[in-house]
Amino acid sequence: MPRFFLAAAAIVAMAAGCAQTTGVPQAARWDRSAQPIEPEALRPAAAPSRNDLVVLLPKPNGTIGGVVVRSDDGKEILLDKAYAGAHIDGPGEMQPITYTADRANREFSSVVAALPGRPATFLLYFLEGKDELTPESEREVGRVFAEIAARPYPEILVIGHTDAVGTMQFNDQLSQQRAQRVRDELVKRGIPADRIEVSGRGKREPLVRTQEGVSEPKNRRVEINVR
Amino acid sequence: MTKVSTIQRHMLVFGLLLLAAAWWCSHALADDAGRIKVSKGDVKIERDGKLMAAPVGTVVEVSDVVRTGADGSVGITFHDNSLLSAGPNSELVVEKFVFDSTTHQGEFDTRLRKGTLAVVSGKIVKQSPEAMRIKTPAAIMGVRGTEFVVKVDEPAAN
Repeated sequence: MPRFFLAAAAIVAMAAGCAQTTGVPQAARWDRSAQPIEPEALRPAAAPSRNDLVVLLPKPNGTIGGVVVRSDDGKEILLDKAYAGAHIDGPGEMQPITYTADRANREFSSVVAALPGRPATFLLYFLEGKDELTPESEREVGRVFAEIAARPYPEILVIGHTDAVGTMQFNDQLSQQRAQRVRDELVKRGIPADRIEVSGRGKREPLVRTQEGVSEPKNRRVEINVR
Repeated sequence: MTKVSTIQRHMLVFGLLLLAAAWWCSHALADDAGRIKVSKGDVKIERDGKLMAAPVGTVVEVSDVVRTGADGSVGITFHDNSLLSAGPNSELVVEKFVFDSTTHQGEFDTRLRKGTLAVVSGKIVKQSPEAMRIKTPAAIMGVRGTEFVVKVDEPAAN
């Protein structure tokens, strides 16, 4: 079957070529050589070519990660405190600056207000061996569903889980049934079915690790991820 | 079976494989990266040279250019739970978005050509810091897990 191998090789070569084109062209980077070279003294000091700005915000939970700002000449500023910033006057001209909460709120309020709602995770718990909610989760379910339905264009992933009582096959099926019940309720509340993905993980991913055959209420759950 | 029919059969198989590869290729190029969740005022997406309105629910693909007018603002949620928003008179390009929902490995490049941008990093950054980059005309930001704002402002030449 040499011809078949040839065909297969051609396909692989095509796929490889295609994968390459999905990357970002390196030429899109700022090209230093294109900048005119002029002596420092001739450059008008009062007319910066840019007025760009980066400011770190505090996270809602208080932790700060960080952002590394690299100018084109290889200069680097690490922003790792709330309201730390970098001002970019032009290619290779960058200064650290410190903002205040007031100033950041004033200058960036419209863009920050347009951030979508944070993706969220909700847990609902189930009765042992059944696809029925516990009384506690039954009381909570209205609030959870209302919160999900209030989001603009919610995209939902529903994952069912079980505890370690019973066979793998039984629990796979039970976790699917639990997830399906939640999905059906969401659809009943007006969320289009094609925006809900459903899966069952059986007893593979317990919240609380237990011995085989142990009944654990915290593991009998459905996780709803929404964004 | 004659020799001719065998060759024809091989050609058919080859043709089908070629079609499959072409489909896979076009699919891989038009990568679905996220979805518009907030759209206020004038918001448009430029895709393959065509300009289209971008209401809530619009899919954002790799190499889309997202533009807002003087009264516009837009918020996008990406598949790795990263959030981006742009304020009025902004232009941003989703240059690269690759995300494996199992390993959380990926790469995410956005270019802000002008205007304002707010960034909340997601699972890609949690898995590999600086795999998310924001490019502006004179700098590149490597994101290590945080929220920040960027403004690109070219002063009028005087």
